Amino acid sequence: MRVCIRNVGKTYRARGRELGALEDISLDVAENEFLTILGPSGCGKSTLLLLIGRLEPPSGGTIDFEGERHSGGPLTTMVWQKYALFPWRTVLQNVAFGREVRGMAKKPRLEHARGLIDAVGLKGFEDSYPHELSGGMQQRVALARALANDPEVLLMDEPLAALDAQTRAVMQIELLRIWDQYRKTVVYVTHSIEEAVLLGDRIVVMSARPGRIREIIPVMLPRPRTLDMIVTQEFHAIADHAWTAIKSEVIAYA
Amino acid sequence: MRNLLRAAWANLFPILTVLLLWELVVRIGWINAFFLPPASVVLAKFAEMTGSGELFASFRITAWRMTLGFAIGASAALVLGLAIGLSRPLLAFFSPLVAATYPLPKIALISIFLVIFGIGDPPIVAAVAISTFYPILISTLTGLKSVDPMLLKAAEDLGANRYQVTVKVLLPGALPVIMSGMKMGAAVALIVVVAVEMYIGQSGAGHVLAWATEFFKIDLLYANVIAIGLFGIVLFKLVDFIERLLVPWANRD
Ligand SMILES: Nc1ncnc2c1ncn2[C@@H]1O[C@H](COP(=O)(O)OP(=O)(O)OP(=O)(O)O)[C@@H](O)[C@H]1O
Ligand SMILES: [Mg+2]
Repeated sequence: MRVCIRNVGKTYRARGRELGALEDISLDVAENEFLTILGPSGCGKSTLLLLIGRLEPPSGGTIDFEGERHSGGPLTTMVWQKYALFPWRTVLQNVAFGREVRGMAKKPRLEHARGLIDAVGLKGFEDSYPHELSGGMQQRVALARALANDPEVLLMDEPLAALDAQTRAVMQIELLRIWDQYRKTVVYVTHSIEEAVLLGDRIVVMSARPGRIREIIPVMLPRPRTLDMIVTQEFHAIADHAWTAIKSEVIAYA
Repeated sequence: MRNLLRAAWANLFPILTVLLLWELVVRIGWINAFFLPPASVVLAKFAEMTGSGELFASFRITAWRMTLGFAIGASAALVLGLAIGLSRPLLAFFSPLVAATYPLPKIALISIFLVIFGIGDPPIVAAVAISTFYPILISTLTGLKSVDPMLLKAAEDLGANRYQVTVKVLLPGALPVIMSGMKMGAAVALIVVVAVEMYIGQSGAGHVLAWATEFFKIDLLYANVIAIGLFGIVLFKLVDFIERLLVPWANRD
């Protein structure tokens, strides 16, 4: 499905003070698009995902989901930066959580979860607890859990930020492979320009707080994407463009 | 099997060494045998009491009072803790009450229980119950508060309704902290049951201690202290086992 964001703003009220987190955001996320969002810290990227995920109400504007529903799942599901896995549940039980709370029968939902655990490369770890896994593996579980929910739109908030550089590179490729397989609409927040270029169809660059859309950069790189593309001229040109856009905002913020 | 034997020996060796030293210093005469009978005498007394069923009889009474008191205190604490922890108005009402009564050493209430319940099991059980109540109540409240709000958000995002968030996330999330409160409650229950039996009991391990002291049955005194120590070890192993069963995901070394 498409996501149509129109004139959305968000003001937080905390201890009597008002804080403008987002201002006048208008944006369409196309069907099956992989949209990446870049912006300085505190510019409201996570807030935007919470709004799209209907976990926070906007202070103004509208967010609509248009087009045909493909999945039997919810409109959106979030993948969190800190994984947010349930420590008391095994990998299998974590991945099956969404279908469990939506009342699906045990056998099919566990079977389905097994399939996704396999898809993210964690076969054999079904009965492990999250604390027994590495960060990269935990993030795979989080991804499988979100995919198992079969949402129309996958929201990802810096899902790889807590990983070391090598694991991160591996996970970027994995993510591309899995996205290729499941073809979801994705809104993906990241701090890494390189990651935004490597993964995205378009990059939304946001301004410092209150967050506004500064620029939208199309990424005209062929798919499937590979890590080798990072050293190409085209990649550099796009990354430079993004860096120029974000530089002034980062400096404005600091 | 070899490892098991080695582990058993690693535990046994220090204990045997201390027993041997104990025996020696008393036999040599460095410590007056009236205050500390030789280890062999105390162990013989212990064996005799075990054989005659005397020990079992007194500990059965103590264990029963402790278990009953713990069960009453723990269930009340859990029910109230969950009710308060899940409801803002109840929390607002009970917080000042808990804060005001928590610091009072519950053992101070023993005379009141005596007046209310008279002599016998009830005041002892009541003392154990009230002493286990607070650590478990506090840990239940702390446990509920300690659950990462992100997990609640994540569950909601995955489609859980409020009831499901409570039952599937809030409660299991609070369980490790609640369990540590239970452990503290069990430790307090043992202390309180023995202390109160010493003070007002007419039977039980604590009463035997008090009686042995009064009549200078020093070997009985020491044998009984050792028995209480062993009882404590068994109790804590049992609680550990239950914790492992209920909280298998907790990070342990
Ligand atoms: N629940 C809240 N209550 C009050 N203010 C909030 C709340 N959540 C976020 N904010 C504020 O809103 C602004 C945007 O926060 P948000 O987390 O969306 O930024 P972000 O772009 O995701 O930052 P980062 O890159 O550091 O993750 C920040 O200034 C933050 O302090
Ligand atoms: Mg953020």
